[in-house]
Amino acid sequence: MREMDDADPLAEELIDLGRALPAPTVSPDLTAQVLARVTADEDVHVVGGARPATPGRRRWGRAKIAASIGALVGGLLLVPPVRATVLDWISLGGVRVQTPTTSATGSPGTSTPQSVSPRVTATSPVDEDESLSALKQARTRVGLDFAVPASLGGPTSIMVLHQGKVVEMTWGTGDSALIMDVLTGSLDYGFLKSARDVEWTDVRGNSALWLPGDHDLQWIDRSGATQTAPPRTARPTLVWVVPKDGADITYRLEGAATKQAALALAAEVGP
Amino acid sequence: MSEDPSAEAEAMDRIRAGDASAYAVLVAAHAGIATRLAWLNGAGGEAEDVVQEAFVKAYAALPGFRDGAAFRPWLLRIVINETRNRQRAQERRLRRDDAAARLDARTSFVRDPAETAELHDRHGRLYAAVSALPQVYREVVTCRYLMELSEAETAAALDVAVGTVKSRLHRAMSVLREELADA
Repeated sequence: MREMDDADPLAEELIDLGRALPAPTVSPDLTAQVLARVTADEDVHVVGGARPATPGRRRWGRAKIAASIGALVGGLLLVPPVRATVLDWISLGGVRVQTPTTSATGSPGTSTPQSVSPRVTATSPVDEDESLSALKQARTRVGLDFAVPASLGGPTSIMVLHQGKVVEMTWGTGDSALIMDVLTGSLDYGFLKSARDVEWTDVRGNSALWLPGDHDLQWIDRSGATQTAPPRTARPTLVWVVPKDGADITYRLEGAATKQAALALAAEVGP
Repeated sequence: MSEDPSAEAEAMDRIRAGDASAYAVLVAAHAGIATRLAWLNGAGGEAEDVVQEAFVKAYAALPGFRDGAAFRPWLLRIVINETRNRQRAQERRLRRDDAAARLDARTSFVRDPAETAELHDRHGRLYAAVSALPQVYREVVTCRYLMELSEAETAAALDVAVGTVKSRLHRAMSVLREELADA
């Protein structure tokens, strides 16, 4: 195994060091998780179908060109059915962004929350007290003291999705609504977007991702289980991660008019 | 973990024939070394994620494998790249104008005091010195000596020519010797 021409004492010491270092344990779930991910992938993208022209090396070359990858905190997986032959991955917090080389054929649909509790329906004007009380309940429900931009006031609606792991808040309604999702880093769920352009930025020193164009948004499960709802089209979105109490909270803010507006709102959500 | 090339080749055939579950054979065979490399190359607490990512990415490349091509060097290359990406991401999280903090992040990313506390004095200093090396030198020393990979495997894992491995290693060792002499 070793091809040492000369006996170099320092080399010998380094080899000893390598053998002395504690051996990290392999995760017992590793095989199961890898298989769940690759078998799911096989169903939907290209292992059985169109092959990358020159896989391996070319694919890796693209990954080098793609934006640097942030820490993947939440789980994420499952590629939605798109006719991409080579996929680049960018991840930040609980979000995985897939940028296909060909255009995605996913059609916009509406996402259906799997569990809704509690919900404050839109009235005009929003009853601040009721809204803030619902917010407090949501915090208790997910066990997370997340923040919201103070300047927006109480959300129009608050939903707790995916078995209590995601809080989705909305201000306003329709096309001009602002939507903010909060998910903890230890979640099984993340969401996948297919986007053409992504920009790295930061919110108070924490890495953030700005997706300037419309893109497909879909919730997925770390174990590889598909979501029943088809992807919906999301408007420009800012994603950022705030470290809190040793864990990472991922925020997703959709619907701000400009990147600057999104960044200003995000800056209000402090640790 | 001992390697069984024929079992591996058979598993790859089954995968190409459509039986994805045969990938379990490859995962079992290489999980140990992949985890070790991820950790030694600085993944720290993210080593499990790095390894999982690497196996998933390596799987996607299988259709293009030439018959008989070895899986392990390709897997290790992905592990190296994943750890590099995460280190870059960690550096990005710091203030861009704070060079000292970034340097600190780079060295602390690789060296985890809690994990190396058990090492006796000389090993501890050696490990610290390796951790403080510039990335290209640290990686080649990690592969060749800490992991005891062959020159050919190191070249594959780092995606460079064997000649480059030799020259980098030579320079890395000079830098290391100087580091240790100053200590």
